[in-house]
Order: sequence, then C-alpha cells, then structure tokens
Amino acid sequence: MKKITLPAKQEFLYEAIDFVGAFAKENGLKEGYNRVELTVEEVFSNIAAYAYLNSEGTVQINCWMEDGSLVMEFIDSGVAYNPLEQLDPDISLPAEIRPIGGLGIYFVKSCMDFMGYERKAEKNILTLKIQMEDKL
Amino acid sequence: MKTFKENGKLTIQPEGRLDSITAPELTAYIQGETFRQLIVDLTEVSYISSAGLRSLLVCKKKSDENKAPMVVKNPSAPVLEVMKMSGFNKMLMIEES
Repeated sequence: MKKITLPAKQEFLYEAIDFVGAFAKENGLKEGYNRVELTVEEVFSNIAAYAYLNSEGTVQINCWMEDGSLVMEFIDSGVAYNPLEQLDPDISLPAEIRPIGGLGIYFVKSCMDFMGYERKAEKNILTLKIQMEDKL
Repeated sequence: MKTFKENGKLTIQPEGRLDSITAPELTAYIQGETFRQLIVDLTEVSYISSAGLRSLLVCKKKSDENKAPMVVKNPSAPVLEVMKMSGFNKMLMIEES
C-alpha cells in the first residue's frame, strides 16, 4: 500500500492527482486513466472545499491493488459527510434551470465500480474501487 | 487562455486543463463581457472536471442573458466523455470539425 497525507487545500490538488497517477502507472497502467483522475479531483476538491469549514486539516490517500482493481481510500477528519447519501442531479435539465454544481459526486459514482463510506473515530473514510482491465 | 473578439463574436480558447484550479479564470473572465455570439473552443483542452463544466454553464447562462448563441468547439475524447456523463452534450451546442 502507498499513502500520502496532504493539506486539505485546493492548491494541493495536483499532488493528489500525481500521487494516484504514479501509483496507477507503477501497476501497469500507461494511458487513459481519465476516470481515475476525474475521481481524485472531485473527491479531493470536495474535501478541500467543505470538510474543514473554517479550520485547517488534512486528507490522507491510500492506494492499493486488489484482484485487478485499483483501490483508493480518502480519509479526512472534517465534518461527517456521506457522499453515498447525496441525491443524483437531474442531468436532463436545460441550461436555464440547471443548478451550478452538484455534478462532482455524481461523476465519482459514474466512474467507480464500488463506493463505500464509513465514519469511524471522527473520521470520514471513503473507499473507491475501479476495475482496471475493462474500464481503462 | 486566449480570447479574441471580432464584430461582437467572442472566441475563448482555454488551454490544458479545465479543472477546479484553472476554471475560475474562465468564470471570472466571462462575467464582465458582452457579446452577440460566443465560441468556446476546446481544441487545446485535454481534461475537464465538474468545475470546468460549471464554468461552461456560467458561460451559457451569460450567453442567454446577452441573447447570444453559444457554441462549444472541438472537445477532445476525454472531454466529450465527461460532457456525456453529465448530459452537457445535449444541453450545449457542440461543433466538431
């Protein structure tokens, strides 16, 4: 398993993407991890924007391989938030009445094969899995 | 990000990534603009996230305010994939050449 701990701030987004990207490449992936990259951005940005409100905190990212799947675990100590409970946006709405926002978590759900959430010891633990062979 | 205006036709060409770090530039830029037609040329954009789509939606709302048509040009394959995931491909006018 590889892990990194970063400040939960938008300006560390590329460090998060590069960390997961490097792990994916080490495990034999060369091209086309668009879905993984998108997922890392949406989850990281969400934590950076909402988890700690007016205080500062960190995000820990753990990566490992399991039965041909890439597993990513995002851990923060911010306010309790279960993204699985978020309602899906209506993607058929025209521009006039489209809300600005609400797509990020929906993308994560669309890109990943498995999404699990646990609140443990005051921490949010989000586990995401994507099968490498047929998706990438 | 390159921009140019000709007879009321505003063309914006973002480059590289349109993500939560870079998209605010586009959102901020479009706020102050008036135009009769808007082209957002995505030829040089290799990656887009929900933050990038948010900026495109702001552009679309601004176009509607100006009663101006907006066209999105040449999204690359990964960009188009994200647009399809969100229904943006049906909501926006997309031109591929």
